[in-house]
Amino acid sequence: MTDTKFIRNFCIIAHIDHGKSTLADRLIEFTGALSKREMEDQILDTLDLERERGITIKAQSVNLNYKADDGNTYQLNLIDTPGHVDFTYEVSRSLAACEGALLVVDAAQGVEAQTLANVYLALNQNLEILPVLNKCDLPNADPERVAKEVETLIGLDASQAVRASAKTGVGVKDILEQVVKLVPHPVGNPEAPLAALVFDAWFDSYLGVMVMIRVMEGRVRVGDVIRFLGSSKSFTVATLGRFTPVKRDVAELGPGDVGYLSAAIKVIHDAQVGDTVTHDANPCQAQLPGYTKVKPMVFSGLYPADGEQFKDLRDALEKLALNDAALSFEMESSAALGFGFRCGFLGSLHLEIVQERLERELGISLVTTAPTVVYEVQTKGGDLLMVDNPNKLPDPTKIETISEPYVKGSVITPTEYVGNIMRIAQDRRGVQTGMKYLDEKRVMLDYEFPLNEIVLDFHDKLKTATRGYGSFDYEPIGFRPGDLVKLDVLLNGEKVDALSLIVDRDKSHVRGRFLAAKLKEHIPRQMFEVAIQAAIGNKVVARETISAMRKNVTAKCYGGDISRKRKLLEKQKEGKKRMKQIGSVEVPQEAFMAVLKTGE
Amino acid sequence: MTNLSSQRLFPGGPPGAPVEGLYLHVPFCHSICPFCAFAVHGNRPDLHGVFHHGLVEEARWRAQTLAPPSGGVASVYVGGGTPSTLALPELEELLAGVFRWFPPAPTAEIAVEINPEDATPDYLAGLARLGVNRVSLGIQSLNGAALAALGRRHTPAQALAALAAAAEWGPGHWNADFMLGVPGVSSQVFLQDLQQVLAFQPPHLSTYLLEFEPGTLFTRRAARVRGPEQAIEQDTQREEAASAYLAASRQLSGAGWNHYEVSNYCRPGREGRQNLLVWNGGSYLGLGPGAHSWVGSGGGLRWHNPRHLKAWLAGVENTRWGEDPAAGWEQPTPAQRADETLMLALRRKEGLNVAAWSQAHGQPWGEPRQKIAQELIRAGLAMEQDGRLALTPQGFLLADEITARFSGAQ
Repeated sequence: MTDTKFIRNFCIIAHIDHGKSTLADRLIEFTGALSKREMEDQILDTLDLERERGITIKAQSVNLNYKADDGNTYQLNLIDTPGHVDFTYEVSRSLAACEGALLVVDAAQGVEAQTLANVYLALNQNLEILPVLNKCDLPNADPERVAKEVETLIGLDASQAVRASAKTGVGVKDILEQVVKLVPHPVGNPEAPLAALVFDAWFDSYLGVMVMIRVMEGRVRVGDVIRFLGSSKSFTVATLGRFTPVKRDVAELGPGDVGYLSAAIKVIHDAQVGDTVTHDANPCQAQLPGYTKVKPMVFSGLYPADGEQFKDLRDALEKLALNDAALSFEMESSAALGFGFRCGFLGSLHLEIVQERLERELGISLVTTAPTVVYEVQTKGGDLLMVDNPNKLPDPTKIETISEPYVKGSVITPTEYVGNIMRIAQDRRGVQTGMKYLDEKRVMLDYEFPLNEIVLDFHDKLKTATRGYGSFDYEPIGFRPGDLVKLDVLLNGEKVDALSLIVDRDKSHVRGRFLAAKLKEHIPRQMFEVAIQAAIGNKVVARETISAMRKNVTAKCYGGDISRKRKLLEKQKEGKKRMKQIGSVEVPQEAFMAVLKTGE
Repeated sequence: MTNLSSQRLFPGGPPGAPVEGLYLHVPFCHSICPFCAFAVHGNRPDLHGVFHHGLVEEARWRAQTLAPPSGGVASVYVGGGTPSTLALPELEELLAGVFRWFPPAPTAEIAVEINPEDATPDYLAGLARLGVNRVSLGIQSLNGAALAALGRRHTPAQALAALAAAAEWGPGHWNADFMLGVPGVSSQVFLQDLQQVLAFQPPHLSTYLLEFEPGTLFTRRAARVRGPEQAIEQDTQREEAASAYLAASRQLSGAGWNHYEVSNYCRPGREGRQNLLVWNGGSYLGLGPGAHSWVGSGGGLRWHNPRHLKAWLAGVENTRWGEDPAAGWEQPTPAQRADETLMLALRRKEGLNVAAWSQAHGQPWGEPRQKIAQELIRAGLAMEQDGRLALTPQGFLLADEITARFSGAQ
């Protein structure tokens, strides 16, 4: 057990692309934990998808030994944090495991909205924050301006901020020295009852759920019977250890220590992020603060494009859920799409990530219905319903009120795009609550939005409107009543359940017209004329017509044509297999994706 | 589909299988038409000799394992290419050589395709003397611009002369081929052609919607069309051709013609026998470059010859070593057979006998197919009568799509 005086627990807060992973690599390399040759580039991001998008989804943490200038060797625990708005809760738990944080800011681009949100989280937890101005090697780097921005925006003293380049390795030693000198060492009583914070968990096919813990008080040994206070489940510790970054088993973890624990835990829900690990026989008095059960905010129907892949999809979702406590799913069926799952996600990025992993890693082609938030419906009968699927909305005559979730969001953008942002925000029913100039070039705008308005393509629109320079962060602020209606789509009079949406009444006509026009683009001509209608209740708000196919016949059929024609037929049939049959209309999968666009 | 790459598996086809029809492919043409995808060869009179030799050799080889029914083959069709590139004595020898191995029944229909410029009264009379009792004229159009667009060598005057000669021809059984949907030619031209040809009282007419076959000049030209204006023009052209197709069907049916298949009309009882044989799944032997054969017995076997004259000749030469001259074989699976018969039946006026199809292929017709049928009937694309489901002319225009719908539904 290391004396806590020689332990430092810290994390890196940075915006996507500001160099978090590269810096982590340099720290690992500099401390000699791995030789350059052993290093896989960007070792902390393990999933392919993460690497590709530059986003860290699952935190990984490493334990580094650093011989400082004062002659002592320190155990530095670098705790990685997920880097996206949808994962705020996970970030907060990672931060709770630390005493300090490196605030890495791109010296050319400056502070971004999401960084800011995480800094505030860190400040709330009294973390020592060490600003690092990264990418100082870039020709357009302006560390002085960015240092000033950090001071005015966050109120931190940035005069000591290390000017670094994670790419070239400049400043890495200075960063490590600052961590040793400025980040407080953990404190904790090794003799007190065990209290350890779960800040990450994932499923390992050999060991069961691997739990990353930060021991606050007491100690834990292999063979101990432990209990998770939140889930009230007890297990016997099978292994303990650290990632250096190579996995090394140890017999014991004590106060201030960061490491993994396995205990033949089969279900990730039994060991959720934020939960407290204690001894079963001698539990600590109270749960560590901040534990919340993760709650999905955005729901969408996921259907296998090929109905025969339903079982594969179920297996794949089960597999993903092993590692993703925030992902929920339950079976549902749609008249249009057959059997599938209603899945719950933290946000739209989380949805996209799950969707991509299902399609890419697990090879399942999906049809996804429009993401929806959860609506709170007060019925005239006095019931309060939580509706996560437009088709479960009660008949309008039975509804007293519908409330929708709102979020508080902030956008940071270069000043020249303020007009664009305001326009988008207005389209999205945003109400501006504040505006603050960070410096003469950048501004932060505060808004309140219905969550529904930002789950679709808000990020894309924001990026386009600011040429990629704008950033956005949000947090939920509760339900508010709205004037909401259900918009249905009908094909030749037949309602397509998978295309129904709940929308703001004022926007319903525009949305309906756009949807009908998009469907017209995507649905090929059929043997009969096809009427596309968008309707609210019985009232048709938009209509498009696809005229009938005129000619699809092979004129000649000689002896030599029979097998040729049959092959053609087989090809045609193959194409039809990828279509969904709605009444007499064949709808290609892309058409269902049309609802994922808002058309602004 | 089973693709049998080894020639040893089926040397010459299943033993003893009867052949009801013969198809002889004459590859020579005076010129190559820009829409044609058949196995063709610029006319080379010096090659007629080896061609004749090859064809008879092929017949001899096939006769080792295949045989005509005891009464002789019911149908002989000489197509191409342009069979009328052969002089009458050449054709006479050719038929005699093949008939030695596969004699025709006394009642057989013996049909020959001829180009209008060759269809002189003398040539036609000569054919009749050879026992030919049906000719098919490749008229395509009676309009000079259309003929030019199609790259045909004959003039409207030659076409009219050929029609006049055919109308006077003794055996009396003849057909004229027409084409609609030719790029750059109004479909009105086709309807006018039709008016003109009816004056000759043909017993049979074929009207083909032009198709862009892979590898043809037309297809290469169409592929170059990129701009939206041209795309609209193509679309309009298709639309026009479809309208003209329906107008022709309405008019001919009104005048007592039998629109008995997607592209074929006849006066009562004057169907082309070779057509019916192929569409009904009868066995036929194809001889010559690119010719296809089908023998229905023993689960069915289909094969095709090399397309090029030289390759085909080499194949025939190799029969000396016991090698089969075909370029490829196919044994359709039961499901593929079911698809084929469905496809063929839906192209016919008499349509599909649903119960018989179900029974023959061990596939229930089923609720989803019945639903599609009802929709088609409601939309005027099909009719149902006495357990048969048949497409209307409007349905014929969508036959491929409809077949795919039925085939895919289960």
